[in-house]
Amino acid sequence: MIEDLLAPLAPREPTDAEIERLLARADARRRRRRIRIASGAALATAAATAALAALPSPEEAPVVTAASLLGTTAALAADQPGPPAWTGYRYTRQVWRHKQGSATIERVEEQWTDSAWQGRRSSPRAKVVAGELAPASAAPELPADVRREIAERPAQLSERARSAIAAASVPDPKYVLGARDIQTPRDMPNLYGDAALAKVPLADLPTDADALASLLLESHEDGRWTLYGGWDPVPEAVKYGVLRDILTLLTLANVTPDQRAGLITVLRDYEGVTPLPAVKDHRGREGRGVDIAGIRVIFSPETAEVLEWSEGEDVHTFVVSGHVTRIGDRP
Amino acid sequence: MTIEIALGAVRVDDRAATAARALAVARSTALGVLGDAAAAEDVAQEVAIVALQRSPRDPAKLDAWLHRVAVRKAIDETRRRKRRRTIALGGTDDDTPARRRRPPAEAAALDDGVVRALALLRPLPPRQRAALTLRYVHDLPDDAIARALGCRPATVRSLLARGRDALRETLEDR
Repeated sequence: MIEDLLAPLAPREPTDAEIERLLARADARRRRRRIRIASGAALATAAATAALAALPSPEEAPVVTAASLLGTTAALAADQPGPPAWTGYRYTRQVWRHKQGSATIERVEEQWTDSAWQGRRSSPRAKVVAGELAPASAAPELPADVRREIAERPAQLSERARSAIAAASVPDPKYVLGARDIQTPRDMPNLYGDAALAKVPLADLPTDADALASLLLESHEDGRWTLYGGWDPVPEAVKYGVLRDILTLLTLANVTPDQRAGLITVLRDYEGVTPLPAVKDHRGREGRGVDIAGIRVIFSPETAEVLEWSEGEDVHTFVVSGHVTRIGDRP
Repeated sequence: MTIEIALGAVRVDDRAATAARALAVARSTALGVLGDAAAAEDVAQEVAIVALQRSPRDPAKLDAWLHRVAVRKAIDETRRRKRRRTIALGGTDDDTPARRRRPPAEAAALDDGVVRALALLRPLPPRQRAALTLRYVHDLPDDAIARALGCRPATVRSLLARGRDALRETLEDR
């Protein structure tokens, strides 16, 4: 009786294609290991490229789950050469494209960040690449009753008052487009901001994905690393906040290769994570990635660096990412 | 390529035959323990790749090795999945109820008989699922199951007895 019920689980013969794909994966893995052992850090990138080139083409690749895609990416991240932990600066050159009213704005920004979010962020004047940026004078005045509402009960504004405030919030184009050169702590406390990871001690971030996910969720809930205390997040926003901070840590923070691997692995825990085995970023670079609730993350298949992450029309493309010893140096 | 899978006669004189056998046995074993085709496929691929690199070349020992490694990797995976919090954006910490309600993405691709078998095994603890899978799917005796699970044959008998009782209860409730 039980035999009959469980009989459908009996081993079935794999297809020839499945066997070929498995042999190709095994060969690719063996080649990668040999290359890693044989080459020094200087050759690591070239070695990974060569090994990945030997992988089967996307048409031949087995069905990829988000877990396996992120697992492979995390393993690649862990294999990358890393400087001594938490020394020097993480360098990024980023093209940030976003909407401001009806205009699309593009800003090219360089950032040097040490392990305490200190460093420098610098960018020339941003460009309007589509549409038109409204002048500050275009902002409508707030109606008298909305002004009164703001004065009388600022914490319980009506929907109409919120809409009016949003419509009147037209930033000055001079500020939106102006060149920036921010150095910390001279100009602001840090390069991260005042949210959950403002004072995160990077050395305390575990590399185990389960422990890392728990720690990030807990720290977003209790605000243990915020700048000023008094942390009271909206519960529904915590997981989204953790996701955004994982992207910040992966792209801008001076973390170790093993910590980057842990952060990538945490992404697989998000419900609805969808694999993108072959995808291109806005610069046409090929990568692999995932979609998580409207946020798309694309990784380099050669280095596991984030090539781009985007949410709707807010697009962060990382043209260069690496590690340097001094502010002003570039990889 | 013709490879005997269901019977014991396994040719391991070439890599393809080892790959085929490893994939088939590991996939079936992991599926019984995990109840999730995608996760079982990940485990099976891992086991099969390791098998190609360092499994016993003796065909008589290959299956025992595959059962042991596949069961242990699959049980490890169930523990990892249990520990891991599913992070639902904007929702509650619903790790299991919603996931249980949601049919696995690959369920549609599975044969009805497989879906029914997995549904029967799903309420059981992983080691009972493993013991029942090895006995009733792979037809292993107590001592071979004990070696795969790393326990004594008496423990296997107990796991099988409790597993059978649970299955009968499930079937009577239907």
